[in-house]
Amino acid sequence: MSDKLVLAGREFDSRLIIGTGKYASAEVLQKSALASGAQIATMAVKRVDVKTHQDEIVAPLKELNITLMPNTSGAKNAREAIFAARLAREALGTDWIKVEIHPDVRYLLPDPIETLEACKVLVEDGFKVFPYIQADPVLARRLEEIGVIAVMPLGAPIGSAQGLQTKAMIDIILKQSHVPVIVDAGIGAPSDAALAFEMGADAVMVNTAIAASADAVLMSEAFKAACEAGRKAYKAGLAIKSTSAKATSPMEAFLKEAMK
Amino acid sequence: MAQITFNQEHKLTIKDGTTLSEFLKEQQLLKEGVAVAIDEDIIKKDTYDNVILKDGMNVDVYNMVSGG
Repeated sequence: MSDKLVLAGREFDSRLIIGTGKYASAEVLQKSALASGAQIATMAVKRVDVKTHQDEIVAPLKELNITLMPNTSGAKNAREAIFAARLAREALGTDWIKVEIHPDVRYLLPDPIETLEACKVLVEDGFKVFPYIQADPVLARRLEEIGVIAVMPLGAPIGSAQGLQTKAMIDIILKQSHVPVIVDAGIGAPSDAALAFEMGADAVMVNTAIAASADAVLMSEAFKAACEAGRKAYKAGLAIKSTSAKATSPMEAFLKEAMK
Repeated sequence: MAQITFNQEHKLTIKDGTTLSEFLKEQQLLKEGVAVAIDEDIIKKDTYDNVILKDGMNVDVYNMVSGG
């Protein structure tokens, strides 16, 4: 059964999007990416640091034929995000951009007003825009209206591994969205990812939970399995919750008779 | 000779008439995944040969780094 993720007219078999931060090395990143089955990875754009040697991250991902989704991480307002997006387009030749604007370094929560503003400009400029947002159903709608490709509501603050703290709001976004919903940030365990898919998420984005694991490659495999399990469960249809027991076996009736 | 500011902090002296592509080659930065802004204007890759660096310019070179 074909169950592809479609983003901006492109089809993907994997619904797990990975971040590239916090990996021990480019080699571990590449091995993890392979083990995760991910076909999309995100990365930031920064001024070249001429003093320190930086790990090359573009080449190892391209070798795996992974689609690059640059992000505007570090931008504190719409103007900086737009500039970062245009730099990334020039650097990588892609019009995909994950818009991330978080002025507050403690919680790294996205600024909704600057995000909406930046997305308007970038959509008009021909970008395929993927905004990272608070799990705000109203904002998700507004972004959908201006033509973003998908929305990326957060489960919890970036890197916090708290899971889907915003579950009820993500649920509303999932119910009303006409664009793919990618649950991003806060996913700390494979079970969090599975839950997102069981709820109907189209994709999830995971970074810290994999990269900061003692065995990133093994954790990548765990996430791959969890994403697939959650998605299959959603497609199959989950059991309806009930407050009382419902017998799973017709034997119960028979036993009742026998006990009389 | 001309003096430029490279990545906000380095003052570099270059020969008059140095093109952007010559400068990048010298810095070993003429490679994939790199973008350049001069005085905050992003420069198109196919024009690097034609852009002559002039005294007082701010040249910023960006690349892709790890991050979520």
